[in-house]
Amino acid sequence: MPVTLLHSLPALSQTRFTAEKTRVACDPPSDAAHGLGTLYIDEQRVVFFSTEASCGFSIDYPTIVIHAVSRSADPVGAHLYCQLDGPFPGYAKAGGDSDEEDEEEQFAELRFIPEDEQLLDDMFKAMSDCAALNPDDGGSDSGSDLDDLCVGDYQDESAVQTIEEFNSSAFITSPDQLSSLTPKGRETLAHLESIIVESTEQTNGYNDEGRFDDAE
Amino acid sequence: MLFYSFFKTQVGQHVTVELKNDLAIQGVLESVDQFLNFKLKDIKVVDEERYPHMLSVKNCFVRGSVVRYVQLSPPTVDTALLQDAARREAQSTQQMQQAKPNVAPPVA
Amino acid sequence: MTDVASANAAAAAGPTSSFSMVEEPLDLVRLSLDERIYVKLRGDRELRGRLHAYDQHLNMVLGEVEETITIVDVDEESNTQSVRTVNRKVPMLFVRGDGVILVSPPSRAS
Repeated sequence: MPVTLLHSLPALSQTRFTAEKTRVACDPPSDAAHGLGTLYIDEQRVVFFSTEASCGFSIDYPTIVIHAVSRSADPVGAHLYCQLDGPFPGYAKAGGDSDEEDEEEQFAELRFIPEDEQLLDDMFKAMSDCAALNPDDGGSDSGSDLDDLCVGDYQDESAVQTIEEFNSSAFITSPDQLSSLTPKGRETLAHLESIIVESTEQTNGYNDEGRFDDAE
Repeated sequence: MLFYSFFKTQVGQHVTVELKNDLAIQGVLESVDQFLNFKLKDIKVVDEERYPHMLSVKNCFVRGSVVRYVQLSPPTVDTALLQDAARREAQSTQQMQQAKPNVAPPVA
Repeated sequence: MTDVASANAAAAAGPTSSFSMVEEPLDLVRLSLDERIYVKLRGDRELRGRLHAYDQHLNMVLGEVEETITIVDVDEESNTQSVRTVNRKVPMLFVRGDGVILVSPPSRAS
């Protein structure tokens, strides 16, 4: 769950930055994201929690599209701005569920306003560092090759079939077999191959950075 | 890591980052990491009316996976060098692929 | 985790040649360097431009780019669809590979 509403403060073990007495505001407004609380910038996620109200929320880093320091001339005061990749949960209730207008277009903007403006740069840096620790690789919860193959336009069935083909001897294994393909077939093959190569890389590649360092 | 290297050469240049949610941000590239997350400074949101909250934002961190395009300034891009680097990267990637057994995940 | 396991497996297995075809389509892309290519992207977007760089994720840098976005408008009252396209030109563009559906070499780029 990208944004999770909380009723108790979760165990946080790797918190990089804690900002007490921080106000939060959400646009579109949400009952679950307003008022005073403590902001925890943890290596795993961002948590905002109000002990008085016994409620708060946590956000996974891949959900945060942009974060930024907003300082000058903003009526709410200097704050840490976060744009999410979707709506904030509870928004539909708060805004009235009479109309289902452009659900896909909805995304929430959160603003964290610390009591002390001086904290903002450190908050920003902590969030940047933690965001870099949490890259997203297709499926956020499992990240298996199969999940990667299933993203986007492709139905699960065709992705599974691709893997079976890939494993079996039915797969084209020599150049002269390739030449018998129609142009359309080649395009399809090219695309399937690109997916397979990409997903292999996603599981195995990122720890092999050093191998490419000479590409500069 | 061709593009990580490439974007490091773009640090300090004006770019326009276009996101998958159609937001476009102009700014100076401040830093880039291996996931192609970008830090921009002196930014300006192209469609300010849709994003009023970003008016007072000067610096921002953009998550790499939400990027659709980055518009670059042609004079800052050495295309011959880039093509050469791409050929070399293709070679080294191919060698790595060949050294790797093609084990597909178990299919349930 | 996975990375370590695969790395060990790779070290144990050594070089294999039986699946060298896997690289072939990317070779086609490599041969298209400095040529005008056609790229189809998610979100009904198409690009035509000169390929300056790509990697195994199909991240790319294209020059002299023409982008075409196809927009389908649905009139809910008459339930009819109208299709329109929006074009623009971008001199130099980095394209993130996760949006790429298809890359077509020069012969089929119109």
